[in-house]
Amino acid sequence: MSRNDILNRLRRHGGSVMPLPRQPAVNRQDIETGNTEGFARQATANNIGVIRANSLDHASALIEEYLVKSGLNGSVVVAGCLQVFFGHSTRFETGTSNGQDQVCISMAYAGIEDTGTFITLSDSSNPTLLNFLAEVHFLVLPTQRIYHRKMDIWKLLALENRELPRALNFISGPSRTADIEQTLQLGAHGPKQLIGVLVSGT
Amino acid sequence: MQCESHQFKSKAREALDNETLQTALARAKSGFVNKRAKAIELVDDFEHLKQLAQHSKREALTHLPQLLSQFEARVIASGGHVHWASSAEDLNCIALEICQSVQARTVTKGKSMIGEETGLNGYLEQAGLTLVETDLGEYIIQLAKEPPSHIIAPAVHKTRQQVAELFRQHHALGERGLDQISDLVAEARQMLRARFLEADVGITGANLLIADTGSVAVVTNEGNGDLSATLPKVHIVTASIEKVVASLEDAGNILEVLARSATGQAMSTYTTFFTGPRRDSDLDGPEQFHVILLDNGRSDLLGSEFEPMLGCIKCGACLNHCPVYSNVGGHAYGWVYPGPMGSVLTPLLQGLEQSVDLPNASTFCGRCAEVCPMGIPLPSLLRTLREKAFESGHEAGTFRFGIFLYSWLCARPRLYHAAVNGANFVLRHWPNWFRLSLPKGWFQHRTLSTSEPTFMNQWKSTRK
Repeated sequence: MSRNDILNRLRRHGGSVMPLPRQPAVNRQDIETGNTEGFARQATANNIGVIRANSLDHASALIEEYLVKSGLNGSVVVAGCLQVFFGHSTRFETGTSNGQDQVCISMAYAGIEDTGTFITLSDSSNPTLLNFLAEVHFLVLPTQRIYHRKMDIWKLLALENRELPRALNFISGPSRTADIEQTLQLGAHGPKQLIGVLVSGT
Repeated sequence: MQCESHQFKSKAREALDNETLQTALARAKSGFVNKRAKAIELVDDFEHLKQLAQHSKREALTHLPQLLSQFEARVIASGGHVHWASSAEDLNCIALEICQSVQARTVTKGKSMIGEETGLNGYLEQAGLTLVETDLGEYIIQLAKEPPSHIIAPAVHKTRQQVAELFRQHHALGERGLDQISDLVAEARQMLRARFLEADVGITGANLLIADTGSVAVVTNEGNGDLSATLPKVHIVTASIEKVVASLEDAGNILEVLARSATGQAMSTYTTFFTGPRRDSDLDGPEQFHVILLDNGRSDLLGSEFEPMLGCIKCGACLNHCPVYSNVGGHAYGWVYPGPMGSVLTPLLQGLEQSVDLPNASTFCGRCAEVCPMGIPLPSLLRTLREKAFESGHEAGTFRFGIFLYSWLCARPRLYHAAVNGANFVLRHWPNWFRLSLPKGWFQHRTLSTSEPTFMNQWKSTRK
């Protein structure tokens, strides 16, 4: 049987059976928070548009305004966890994307200042396809959830006792490719435009 | 994939004479090298990041059987399945069985070097499945019916005109134009979106496997990995056994150096950790999640002098900085992995007798080892392979005779000096005659110089 053959070969060739050291327990003070300005700078460098809002209600108003100004008249799907802020308009559907939507709006779990990255956790109220199928993608991130580096996210997940969802996404820009003549093109398969909505306050 | 590495010399010659390829390679080389240099400049201490990544990998290789068992248990606990494949054929059979078990007809595929290694596409197509590569580069070479020529930019050898021509042949274009690169990307997006939405099975590779959580990390810039993993009802991951690391922290250490070394990004656009199939309350995601672990000769490398090669994270930095790869491109190497890492891995996985020229496809300039984020001593591994090739008698008779003659001469100092003096005399007095007597190609890349007098000769001349 392949399984035992492979494992036996590895053990014979020196694979140690000594247990690996456990990760030490995490305290809140071990997690380094990030700087919003630094995050916005890095996100902009990653071709992410940045909008600032001072509450989630303000964020939804700014997104609606952006859609009108940019002539984005197609269908919009918003994550269930944000529905309450967009419930006043019938234009915003909730659920996941079917690939025909023009705009999707989802919620970030955290951000990384170092790389300008948004982290999302998939679940029924924040389905992962919202991050990949629309032409324009809005990601809402409370600024108090910005951390310094990738390492802080692992600590945060451990501290908050979060079980990994089916998809833990690290998103650092709109979809891109440079597969033809090394020339950067945005919007390969996923969003052509990614707009981060940074929400200050609680 | 069939190994044609024994044709390296003739394929390299063809590549050097191919002007279109030379143009594409020149453009690619400077692009990759400059982007990596800029990304590393922005980091306070890249050496420190390299040390962390190498430590995580060393720990993983030391505990490889234990971590693979742990990974398997965690995948099963999250509702997924793990399959073990000793050989390429095993992997292909397992993948086909999974596809047949759900009566699949169409498959979308994210980029997977393991899939290339086992010839998975051809195998599934032969069984009647319709399979579409979704990474733009892979899609282009699938249309062209060619293997990838670079591990992270498979179509790096193609110009925009060649891509446009392929799309004209294979797509019903109607009014759509293909003059700009943006037109080509839009065309591929439109064609592949439909394939994503109708696929029964999605197959992706894996950049890392995390033992602690049973997760699979997939890194892309296009988002095709996520769409292949999420839209179809079955997600199959093809991964080699050395991809496993202990924890998310270890995965993070390796991701810090991966994108910077590969594409010069601080982080690739999409890095996703997939854990199991969709949960009961999820609105999207596959119903089945399968991981196929491939050995194909790797377990024999553990504990051998070639173990460091298992540390390779397939970033492609060694290819981009290699003077040989930059001139001959990837196809000359004759198998899936080109450049310095391929010149080590191909003989180890396919046998030296098939690929005896590859360890010699190096100038030993040392750039590959310098830029390797995982600290793999590629020139020294190539040197060891050269020794093995000589010991096992796989090299050409003329080459062996030359080496034998040289070592015989070196062991006889007087005769050696006489021979060197004789050669110097010939080079000084009959350079043109000598030039004409050697193959023309030899002089295209080399100059012939006469050697300086030896120290002994100089000393003797001062005593006269």
